[in-house]
Amino acid sequence: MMNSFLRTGGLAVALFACASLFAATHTERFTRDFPLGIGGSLWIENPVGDVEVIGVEGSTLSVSVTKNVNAPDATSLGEGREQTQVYMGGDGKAFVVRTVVGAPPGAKWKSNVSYSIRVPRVAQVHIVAAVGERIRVAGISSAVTVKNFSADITLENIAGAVTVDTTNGDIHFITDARPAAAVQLSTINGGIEVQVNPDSNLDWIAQSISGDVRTNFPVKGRFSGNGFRGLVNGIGGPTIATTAVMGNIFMLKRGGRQDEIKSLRAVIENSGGPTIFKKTAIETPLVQGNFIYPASADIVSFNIGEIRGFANIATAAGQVNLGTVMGDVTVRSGGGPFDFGAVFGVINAHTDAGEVNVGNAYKGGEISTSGGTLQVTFSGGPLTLQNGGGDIVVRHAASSVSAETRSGDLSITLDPNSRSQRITAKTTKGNVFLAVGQRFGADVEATVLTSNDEANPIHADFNGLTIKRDQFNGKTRIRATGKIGGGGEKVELYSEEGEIRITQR
Amino acid sequence: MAECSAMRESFPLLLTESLDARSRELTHQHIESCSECGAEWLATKETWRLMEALPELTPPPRMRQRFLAEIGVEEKPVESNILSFPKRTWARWLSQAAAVVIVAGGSYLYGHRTQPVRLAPQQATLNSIQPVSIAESRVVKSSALSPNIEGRPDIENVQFIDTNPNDDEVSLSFDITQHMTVTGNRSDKSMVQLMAYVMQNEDKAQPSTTRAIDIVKQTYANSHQPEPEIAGAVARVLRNDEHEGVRIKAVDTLKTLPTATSETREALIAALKNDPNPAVRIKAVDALAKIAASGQLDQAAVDTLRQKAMQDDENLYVRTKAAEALKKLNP
Amino acid sequence: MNHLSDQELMRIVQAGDLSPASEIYDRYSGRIYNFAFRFLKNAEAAEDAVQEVFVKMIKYANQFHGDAKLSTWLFSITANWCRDYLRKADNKSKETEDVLISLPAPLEHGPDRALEQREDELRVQRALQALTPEQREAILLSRYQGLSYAEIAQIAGCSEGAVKTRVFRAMETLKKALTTETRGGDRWLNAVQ
Ligand SMILES: [Zn+2]
Repeated sequence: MMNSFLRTGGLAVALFACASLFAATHTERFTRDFPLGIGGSLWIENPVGDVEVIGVEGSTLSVSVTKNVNAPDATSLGEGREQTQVYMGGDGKAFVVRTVVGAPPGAKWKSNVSYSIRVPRVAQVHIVAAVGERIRVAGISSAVTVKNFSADITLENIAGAVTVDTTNGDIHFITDARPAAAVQLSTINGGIEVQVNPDSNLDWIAQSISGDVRTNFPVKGRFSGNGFRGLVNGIGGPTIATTAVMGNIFMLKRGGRQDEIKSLRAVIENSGGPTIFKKTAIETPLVQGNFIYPASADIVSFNIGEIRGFANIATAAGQVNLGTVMGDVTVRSGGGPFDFGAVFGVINAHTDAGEVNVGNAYKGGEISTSGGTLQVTFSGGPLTLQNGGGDIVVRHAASSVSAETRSGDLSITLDPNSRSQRITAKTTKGNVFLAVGQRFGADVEATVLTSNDEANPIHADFNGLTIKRDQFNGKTRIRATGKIGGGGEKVELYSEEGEIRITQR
Repeated sequence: MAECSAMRESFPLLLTESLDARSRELTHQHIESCSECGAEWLATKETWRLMEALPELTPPPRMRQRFLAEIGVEEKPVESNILSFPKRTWARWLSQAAAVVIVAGGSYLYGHRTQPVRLAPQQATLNSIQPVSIAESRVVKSSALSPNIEGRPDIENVQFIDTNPNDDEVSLSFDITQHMTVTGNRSDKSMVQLMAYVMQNEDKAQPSTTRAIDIVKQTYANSHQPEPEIAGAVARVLRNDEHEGVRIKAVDTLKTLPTATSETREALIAALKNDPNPAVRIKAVDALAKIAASGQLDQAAVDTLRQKAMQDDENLYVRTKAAEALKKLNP
Repeated sequence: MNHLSDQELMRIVQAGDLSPASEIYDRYSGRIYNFAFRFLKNAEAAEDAVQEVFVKMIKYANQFHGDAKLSTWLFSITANWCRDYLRKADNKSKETEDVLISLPAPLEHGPDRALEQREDELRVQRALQALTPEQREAILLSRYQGLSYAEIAQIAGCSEGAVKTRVFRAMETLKKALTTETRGGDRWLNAVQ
């Protein structure tokens, strides 16, 4: 029941079942006993498979091994058995159990090794197990460390210091006692559940950028940014640090009541305090009126088919995909790409990181990204584009364009029927391409600053441009000026270390 | 009280030991006799100590290159397996190349008279304005060229020609003393070296690095055969180029190249860790995720992604992307 | 070249030979980068600052007087550049976003030592950003660059007395930000009782 908030690790089961549909499977089982002295440590390395370690009285280490090999044919089955080896060894102080899989690239066989180990409860236990369904350690009175990529990890009644790092696994830390040693649990994509004696005193740290933090303990503490730190019950307990970057964190009384579990995030929000980041997605095919999502510290992604009014969005991070917007679009994002289909109002959009893709910007607007490609298919109004790094492409501009990038290529194609438009395009590193129609007229000023003094970087499908060269800041500056098509609005193009090309089509 | 505030203004000077002996003595005496100032002094000392927490940052090496390039000071080139040769003029390089051609290709200088001489197609995209007469042009098979580029020749007017995208045959044409076109298989050693050269020697080769990367991407993206030289050259651009637009292109290209060398992986890891531009970091996440997903779990890549996902002061979108990339790795 | 003094290197540059540029860069780029980064809290801007400071150093080498300290001169250029940068209003928004965790006092060598260090770093960084640019400049030069008040006065273009006041005020603000948070904080809340 506690598991409802955690994703289940059913993936490995599914894979296993598929592979064994037509395949030959070979399973070996064996058990070995060894002596392990007081203060000894057990090291387990297992790249693929489950691990169970249970603390027992006495000084005997007992290792049960289950080795599975799946293969489509007998030859590769043999190879798999050969290449999947279990090594055990050590002295009375330190003992190592290690799976070595020598799978060549493209091997047809797959193998995994599961361990069920009884170890003297006073031993230290260190597990490095990359991928598996389950890791369980129980009844150890000394330190336990687990390093893992993905598995459901359960630690029960561990009295020593605990460190668990997993990338995609869930972590359950459960004990009937009051913890006395430091505990550090961290996962990127999984969740964390802690269940301890209801009388425990703990110094609790919880960090998550998109999950919730919930408890049925009395706690006192504060949020700052995306972290919570506070006391569980009262002072005097060990530190328990829980980090679940994308998942939820639960701090619960062992045997406590579920209906007492409260969301700290909700409490904070109700008291007007700071909020922690919470990742949400807003998806809807249609918004009848205006769509307003006010400035928030949340990571929110938007996927909206159509907005009949205007859109006003601010998000800490996340992608913003808007299909059709009838009114203006104002968007600020702390990071994440934008994709707008058709905007009938004016666009004013900025992202701190990511690509921007706009289909039709019927009234133009101002669009900027701190880095990433910026692309507009059609613009019908004055357009100002700024890029902190990356290309800018405008495929069909029927109005003026001002575009600037710190580095990257600029490519602007004007409406073929346009007679004249003001164009400014500037890159401090890269090329500038401008395509104009047959009837286009302008006063052109194209400048290239280059360290190549023999370069001939300005090309135009027109006569009438005068080219001058001079030295500027230790570089060669080439300027082409003049009227094309009888003159008109000003077209200013600037490139450093690149070329400028004006073509007529 | 006035005395107290004057004393407290001297606390920072006491900490940097820049008070003269008399003032120092006076201040210490006051601290001992006035309990409020005593407490303030302790708090000031503690604050001064806490400020130690700021780490000392090392400026990225590309900044040094950017500065020296700007003022035109040339340093001995950093080790590079392609171009560690002393600078020579292009004319000497050409004669060298021609000499190699004679040896390796049988008799190129004679042979070309009987072979059809191809003119670079004019629809090529760069600087193809000067007409090139047949007498000035040479077409060389890349297999007949030495894969080692001697010196740092000035080459201009570089054009990339891929007449049939369905085969592996590509051509690269450029001006040295005369217009030269090298044609050959894209995986031919000489072709690879030439491409890598053009990409990394913007000051010597006419197309910009960005354009050169585009050419490389077009030629080698999703090809079956890995070209570690090319990947290495792109990785070096990613590491060293001061322009984020160029680095964005480099990281994009690395993602499309068929296999990752350790150099590529390290360059991507370095970019994800240190690149100041968030777009480069986002793309580095994608590229690393792709590498990490191919074949065995790549521990260094996974560790860097993990570290990014956990990093408090990283852009939230980058953190989320790193976490999502790790999630997809679930085997 | 590394046995020559700053002044001697600059004399070579003033004579038109730029070969000492890399040596001078190596001596000071780290300090300038750290100063600019802490002042602006923006890595890209700090890179630009270093670039422009050293280019200016070469360009205006003749304005450097042999009896001055090169570090003072370079920090003057840097501080000027940084002030200009902040004056451009649109740069304000480019400050790296803080995601700060303020927590009570660390346990001695607890398992979350690295986390604590990281938190301390963020706290100091945020506290510095809360200062006025004048105060920040003064405290950075005094605390992290070890410059005297006389040198800072020269860089900031103010009196030594003003530097004294700025550093003092800065310390008062930092003290509040850094020591009260560790003592328990101002906004404790009773989440679930
Ligand atoms: Zn006093």
